[in-house]
Amino acid sequence: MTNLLIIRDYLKAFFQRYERFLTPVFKFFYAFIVLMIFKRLFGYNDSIYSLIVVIPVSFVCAFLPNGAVYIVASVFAVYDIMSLSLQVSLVLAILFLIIYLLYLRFIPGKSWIVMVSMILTMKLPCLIPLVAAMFIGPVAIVPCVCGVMLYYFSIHARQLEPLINASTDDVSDTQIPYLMDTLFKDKEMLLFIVIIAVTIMFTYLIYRSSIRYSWFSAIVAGTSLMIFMLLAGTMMIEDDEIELATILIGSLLSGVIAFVVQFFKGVLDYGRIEIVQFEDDDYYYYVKAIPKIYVAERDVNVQTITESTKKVGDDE
Amino acid sequence: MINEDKVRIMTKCACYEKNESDNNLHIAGYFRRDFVRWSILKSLVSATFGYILLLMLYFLANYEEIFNLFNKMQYKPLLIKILVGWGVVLIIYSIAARIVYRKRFEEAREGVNDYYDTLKKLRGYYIAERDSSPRFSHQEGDPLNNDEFIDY
Repeated sequence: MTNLLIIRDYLKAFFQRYERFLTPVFKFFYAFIVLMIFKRLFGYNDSIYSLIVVIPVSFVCAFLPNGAVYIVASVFAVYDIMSLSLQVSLVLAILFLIIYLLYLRFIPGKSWIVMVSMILTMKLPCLIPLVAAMFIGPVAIVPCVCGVMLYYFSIHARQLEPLINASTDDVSDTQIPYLMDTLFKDKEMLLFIVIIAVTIMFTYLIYRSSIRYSWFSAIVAGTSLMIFMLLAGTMMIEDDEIELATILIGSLLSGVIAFVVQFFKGVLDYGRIEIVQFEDDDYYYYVKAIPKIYVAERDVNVQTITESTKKVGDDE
Repeated sequence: MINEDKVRIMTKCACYEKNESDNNLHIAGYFRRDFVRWSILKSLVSATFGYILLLMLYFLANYEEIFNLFNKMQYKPLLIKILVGWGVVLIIYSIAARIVYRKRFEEAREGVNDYYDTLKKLRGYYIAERDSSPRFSHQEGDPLNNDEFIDY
């Protein structure tokens, strides 16, 4: 445990020291991963996802605020899906705009949750509510739900592709009603939305409670509740596509990842190195203020106890 | 000679101005009521646009049904539903915006108050410097004599 704490402190010190360089690098990879995953989710027009386009765009995003990735990814997705159908791209554009107007304009700086929950729904949906409850709280319910909806939108849009390609008639009039109908009647999506909302609230309440080891209890209770709700929900909706083994393994893996995330949560909570310039009547000042770093040292206290070779009573 | 304590305080102020001031000083420039009301108004405008887009989605998905209603001249119940929905959205957003923007104002005011306290300390150094130095004379209009130097 001490070794882990030392590693965490060193990581924190490392982030603090190289924050100026690491932030753009992380932003670059965030934008790059989002665009690459959009290629998998939509991917009707591969030319816009070529590395010649994606790398420079991600590079520009690295120096822009986080919200820029949401806008760039939205533009990519809408332009991409135009190759499938103009109507579907209109619906997607409206969805992105609704999320922006009803949520992101109101609570700025949370667009990454929409993107991350959209990405996680693909592989590890159970991780979303645990991490969202620990990092953000109930405010995260709305963007998580939006992310899940966008993911299922991409699935239903893909299902529409063979219909559009196969039909010789003009199906443009029925595309949007069909898409909206299948999307909002998708029981699997509705099940995930309910589970995510309930688990976030439940995990958050335990996480913020004043009981001992609240974070530990929150993760265990949140994971258990999620497994229970997923099993019950799957039986209720009688969906054969959801595999029980996947649910169990996914939920347990999410619980383990949540523990790791909780342990390293403090790593990003550091004071920044500040470089400021100012002046008074006599001088110009160029100051680099470096926060003090405390790194835990290995607490080694070796106490050697050897049996005395001479007994006290020997001299007598 | 450089006064290290003064440099520390100036650095603190400069860091605050660099990171926080854009938003917080702007917010703290308002009265709380004005800031909250103005923010609620902006939120309601964007909520209305969002609601219009939601309606657009609804119309696109159910256009046949809606055309039928209009053909039969039975659009009144639909219009009433739309207006009630808009009212509900506005009420929810005004309550949520009131809570969020009040909290944001309080946080900004707290940060700005700390910043003003630091400025006050800095002012103390300048007054002490002025009093001890023959270079400066007590003049009318000297900003250090003015209580408005730090504008609350």
